[in-house]
Amino acid sequence: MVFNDQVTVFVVEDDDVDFMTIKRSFAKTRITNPLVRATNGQQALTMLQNKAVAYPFVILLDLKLPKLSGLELLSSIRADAGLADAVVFILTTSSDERDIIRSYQHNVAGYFVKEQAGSHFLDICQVLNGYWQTVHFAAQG
Amino acid sequence: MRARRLLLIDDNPDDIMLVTRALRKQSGWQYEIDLAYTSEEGIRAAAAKRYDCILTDYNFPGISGMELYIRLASCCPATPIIVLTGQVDQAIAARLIKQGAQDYINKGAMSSEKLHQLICDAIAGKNNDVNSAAPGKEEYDVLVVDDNEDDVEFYIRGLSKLDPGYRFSHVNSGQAALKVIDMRPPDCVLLDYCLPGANGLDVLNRILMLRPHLPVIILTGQGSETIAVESIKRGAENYMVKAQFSPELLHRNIREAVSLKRLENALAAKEHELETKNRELNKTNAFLDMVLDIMPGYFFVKDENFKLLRANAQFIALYPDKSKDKIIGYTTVEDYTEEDARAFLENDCLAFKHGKHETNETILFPNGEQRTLFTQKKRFTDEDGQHFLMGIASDVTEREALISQLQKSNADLEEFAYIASHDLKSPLNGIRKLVSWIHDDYREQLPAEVQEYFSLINSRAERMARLLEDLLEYSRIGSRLTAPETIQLHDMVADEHQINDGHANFTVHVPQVEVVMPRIGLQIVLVNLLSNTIKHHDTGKGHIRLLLNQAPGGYQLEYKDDGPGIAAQYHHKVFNMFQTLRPRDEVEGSGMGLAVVKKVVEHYQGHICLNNCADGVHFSIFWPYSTTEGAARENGNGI
Repeated sequence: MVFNDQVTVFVVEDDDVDFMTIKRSFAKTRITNPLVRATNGQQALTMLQNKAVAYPFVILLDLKLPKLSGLELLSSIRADAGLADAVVFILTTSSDERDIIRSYQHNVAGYFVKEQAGSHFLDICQVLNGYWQTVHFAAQG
Repeated sequence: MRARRLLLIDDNPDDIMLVTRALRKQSGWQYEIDLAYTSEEGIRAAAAKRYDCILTDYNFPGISGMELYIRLASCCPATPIIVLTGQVDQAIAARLIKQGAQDYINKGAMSSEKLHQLICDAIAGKNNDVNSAAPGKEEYDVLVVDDNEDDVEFYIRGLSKLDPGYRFSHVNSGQAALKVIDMRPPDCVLLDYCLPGANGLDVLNRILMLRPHLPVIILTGQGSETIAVESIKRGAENYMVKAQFSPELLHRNIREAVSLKRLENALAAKEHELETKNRELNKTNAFLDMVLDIMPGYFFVKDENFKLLRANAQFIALYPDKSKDKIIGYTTVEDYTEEDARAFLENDCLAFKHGKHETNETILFPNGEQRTLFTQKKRFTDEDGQHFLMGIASDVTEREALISQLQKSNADLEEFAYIASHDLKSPLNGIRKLVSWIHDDYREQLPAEVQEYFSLINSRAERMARLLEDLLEYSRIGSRLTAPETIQLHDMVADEHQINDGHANFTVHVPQVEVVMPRIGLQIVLVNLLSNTIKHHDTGKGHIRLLLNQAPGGYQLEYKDDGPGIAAQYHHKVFNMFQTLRPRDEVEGSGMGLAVVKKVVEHYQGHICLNNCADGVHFSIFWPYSTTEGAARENGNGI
């Protein structure tokens, strides 16, 4: 059994303000899970492959990223036997249906559109918090 | 085994061998051939014995071919004569046949079968001639020109006894004869050569000048070959020596002369008719050639072996000058790249197989130009059952290049709008977040003025976000539009009306009709028009009226509201992008609404205009009926 506050939240986000938004929202909703950040897709992939992110973890992935884009990173994760089962949420400014469709084709657990600041993002935090409180993660294999 | 007796008159042993061998080969027939090596020998033989057919050479020393023929024909008029010629001289052949020769054959191109057939036809033809002139069947109006009453009496009495169809008139001078012939031409003239005070040949000349087609038989007291030949040369039909003929022979000669002339006349009439037809045909052909050369495109006809049979000037121009004479009658595949040739031959096969074929093909032509053609090929069959292919191709090189350029620039534009609005959105969101954090965390510490500034920053950022959102929406219209379907207009308007804030204060009148239109396109148009009315209404309460009429080729939609309307001087601006007529601080809007409406309508080849009217706005939209073809195009390559 994994305690829910042991789930690491791995944020792949190049925008400092967006990352601050997540930190602020977590603080406001009293989510204490450890936050780990990568600022581009390539860095994220390297960290995952080097096991630099403690298991269990969920990934909060932006689609617009320098070097390796979010969808490219997602493809690499799904193609990597050691990472294929990672839980990934998309958190992006894009509400383009093409992006949504392609993301779900890569088996993401959810797709969130970053909207305006304010209470909206707090809702997303609630959903995430609820998710790892109720969902069972596989023991690391 | 059937037997035939032939007389062969020829001075060349090789030719004699050729003919005798050819006829010996004809199984089922026994040809008994008498040979004559000179013209004189031939004439003697023809007079002495009855033959089924005479074959004669044309060139003998001392006598012209025509003369020989005439002499042969006069000593055995019922025997068919076939002339053997060395080289095909159509003019000579035609003259001989006109004179009564049954046929001619070119020695160089003679085969056993052909010669045999010719002989059979000649014999059959001659029999027909004799039969058709059988007594009692026809009437003969004969003018006898003779000053010897006894002779006249002899002819009339003898001929009348043989055939009751004779009618005679009699004059005794050339002068009188010409008068009668001028007034009422007879079927035949019997002309005494020796008339008082006149030369027979002169009279003959004058008769034939008057009536070139009148058969004249010269009768003379003394047999003179020179006179005979001269008469025939001048156009007399025949020549007879008075003391040497019986009424029967005269009768036969008259009949032959008349029927020959009649046939000649019929032939001449036919020839004339043929000539007229030929001229018409030539005219039609010339016209067709002109049309084919004028038409903007390529035209060609191929046979089943892919050989070109016909092509217009444009097609010929696709070849370099040096190979222009190697087009008609050739497949010309070697003038193309292997790949191109294979492609169009495959298409030819498909067209032959299915009856027609059409394609867009890019071909490197022999003149070095690469062109894209829209080619249609159609199979047709001629009277003999031969299949052909007719091809018409129009040059679409420039059009295709434009289309692909346009497609690319459209895609580029869309991509640009997508990326731009997307990438601009992130920093904007950052700004808005930071402002909201300042508001959340430090509101109490900030002077009211600064708070006011921050709220202005926030509203500007929000406006920019909306502009970006609408821009993105605009760029994506093309990819979202769909094929037409059946829609209840009333229900759809009601649904779209609900979407806009403040709709409750506005009533919409829509007819209960069914339309076939693209759903999403119509939705976008309606929601934008409705929102436009609600947003800009001066009293915040009003009525909207929508009318739908059938116009030629499409629907005519009329949209009217009772708002403040739009001043005429701004009409040309309202459909522009980001165009608002009121400050955004009064009415929040990106100014994209009507631009979006226009883009959708024009995507479907329709048009929208804003009408002048006293109160409210009045938009007229023409929306073309969707054709299945149009629908297919939409589905096939939505922008």
